[in-house]
Amino acid sequence: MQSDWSIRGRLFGLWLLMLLLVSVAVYLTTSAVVERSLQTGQDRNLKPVALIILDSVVNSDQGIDFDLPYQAFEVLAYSAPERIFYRVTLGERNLAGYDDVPADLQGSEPIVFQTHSYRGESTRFVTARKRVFSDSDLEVTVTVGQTRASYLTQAQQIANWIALAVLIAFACLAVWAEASLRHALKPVVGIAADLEVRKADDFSPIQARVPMEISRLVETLNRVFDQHRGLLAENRAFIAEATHQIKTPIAAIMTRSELLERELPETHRAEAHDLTVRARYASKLVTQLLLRASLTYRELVGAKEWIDLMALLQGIVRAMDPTAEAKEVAIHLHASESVPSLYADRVAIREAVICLLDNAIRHTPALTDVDVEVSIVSGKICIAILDRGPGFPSDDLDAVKLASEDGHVGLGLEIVNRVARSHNGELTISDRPDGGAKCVISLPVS
Amino acid sequence: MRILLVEDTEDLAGALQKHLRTTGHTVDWAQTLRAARQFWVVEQAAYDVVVLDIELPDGSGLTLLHQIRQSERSVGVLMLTARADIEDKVQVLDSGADDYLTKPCALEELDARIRSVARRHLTRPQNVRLVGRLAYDPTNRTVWADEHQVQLRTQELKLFEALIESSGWTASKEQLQSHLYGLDQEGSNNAVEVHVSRLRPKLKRYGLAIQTLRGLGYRLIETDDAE
Repeated sequence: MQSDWSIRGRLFGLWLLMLLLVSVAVYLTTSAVVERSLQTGQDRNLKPVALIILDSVVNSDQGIDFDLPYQAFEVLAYSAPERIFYRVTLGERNLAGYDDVPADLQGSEPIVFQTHSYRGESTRFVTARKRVFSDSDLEVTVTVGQTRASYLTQAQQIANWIALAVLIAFACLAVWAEASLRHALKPVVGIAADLEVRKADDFSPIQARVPMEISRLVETLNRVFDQHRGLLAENRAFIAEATHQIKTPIAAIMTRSELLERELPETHRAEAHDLTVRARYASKLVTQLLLRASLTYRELVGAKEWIDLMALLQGIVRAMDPTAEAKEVAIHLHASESVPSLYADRVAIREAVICLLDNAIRHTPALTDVDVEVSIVSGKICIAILDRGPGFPSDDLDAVKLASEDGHVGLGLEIVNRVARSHNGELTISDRPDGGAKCVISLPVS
Repeated sequence: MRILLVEDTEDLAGALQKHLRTTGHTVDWAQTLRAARQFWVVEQAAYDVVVLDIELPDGSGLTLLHQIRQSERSVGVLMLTARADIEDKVQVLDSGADDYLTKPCALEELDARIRSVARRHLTRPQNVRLVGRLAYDPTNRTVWADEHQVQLRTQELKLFEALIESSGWTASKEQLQSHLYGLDQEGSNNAVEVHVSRLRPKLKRYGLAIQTLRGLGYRLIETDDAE
């Protein structure tokens, strides 16, 4: 399966896009509202000025009486440091002010606000009008304009602050979005990490608490694991049964051939011995097959516990003593220091040590010793099994594992190696300088 | 020793009986659980060891083991199993068996385990020979320290017996060698030295030492450094 996108990346991208759009919208809206609000303020200042000027235009007997009220402009002068323009017209005739001021001379609304670029600057204008003669449509129009520079600067400053606030909010939300995504996806990441470090044959169920959204996925996975575990147990039971069925006739062959060995004349003994050796080898392979299946199963179901290693080894040495005695071999157990408890699968460790001891007893010559030495080296408990046999053809474990059974290795070393690795340890093999083999199982102190 | 052999595979049972009889034991063979129970009910007082297969055609050998352990008779039980499944071994020992052996097994190992299992259920007899803090029972060929048996291997026991027999006199290496291997077996040249060195620490704690007299042989002496 190929995957070039991640849920987290995609959700985060969508979050960011949405945040960006919202931020831009907020910025534009608030900027517009601020500008509008400032403009309304300016209009409120302009309007009374225009009306005061308009009120100062009255008709008289001579026609129009108009005296420009300069004090009206003071309101504007106080409100902002802007340039002010005005124009007063009667009909088309200019009564006062700049005649290029863009007055709305055609309109009918009594008060009109407009923004124009006037003399190179954006300027806000208000135009107010009234009739001065009852018998004529002639109107007096007053237009007052004020530049907008300070208002625009103020609006820009406010907009900048808003932009800054939006940016900070955007950054905070982005961090929050990332954190919330990380938190939301934590169970998925945890499950992925769990599955990543699993061994290929680890079918134990996923125990993590997961959110509802992925519980179905996890349930399905666990069901699949369960089915595999069931198959494995079934397989193991089959191997156990098959082993029993195979070993019973082998036992009969071996025992009878051993008896034959003793009873036959010297000339035929070698043949009977050969038969015994082959039957023993067949039996050993079958046993190791079962052992391997059993250990795999135990790894899956998690059979580790705190064990007293020395007590376990003493039991093993006691149990193996009759085997060693038959060959006049003595087994000695030594510990260089106090050995701490070990968190391990008791049965797996026992079988691994038995396997190495069995090898050692078989290969060491009669009347020699097999030593089991326990020491702690660099934080690891080392269980060394030493014999006086011919040693290994190589100290490369893989090469030795592949050696033929007449090297009497079989599956044993592979099983021991597997047990060591399943406890995060290792198996090393070497030849002793003064003759014999040395196998060491190193296990980390838990 | 008298042994009750419970084994359903006729071939194997036949071979085992033949071997055990050859080595001087009296054997009763039961092919089924039912037959084994009958033997046990009638003859239980006579058996020194029961060699019991777990898988029998009419049930599990473990039920007979349970029955044996519930009786007052203390007898050694060696379980035989072809399953060799690791959990089975634990179950067998937890059920009260003295030892187990997976089929097929070497006959020498069977002999060693039968001896070892039988020794565990002996009680200290009255008629013993005292040597230092140890008591030697010539009938059962066992060694006792107070009420506890001292576990000696066969060759070590033979050596100990030879040293006792020489009653404080020096036993030559050749004499000891012939005790260990008999006349028809050829032992290794250093066998006596090896077994002496293995026996020494086992005797030392009971106030006994094996003295080496260069060129002459070995002598068993009492010392004061018992533990």
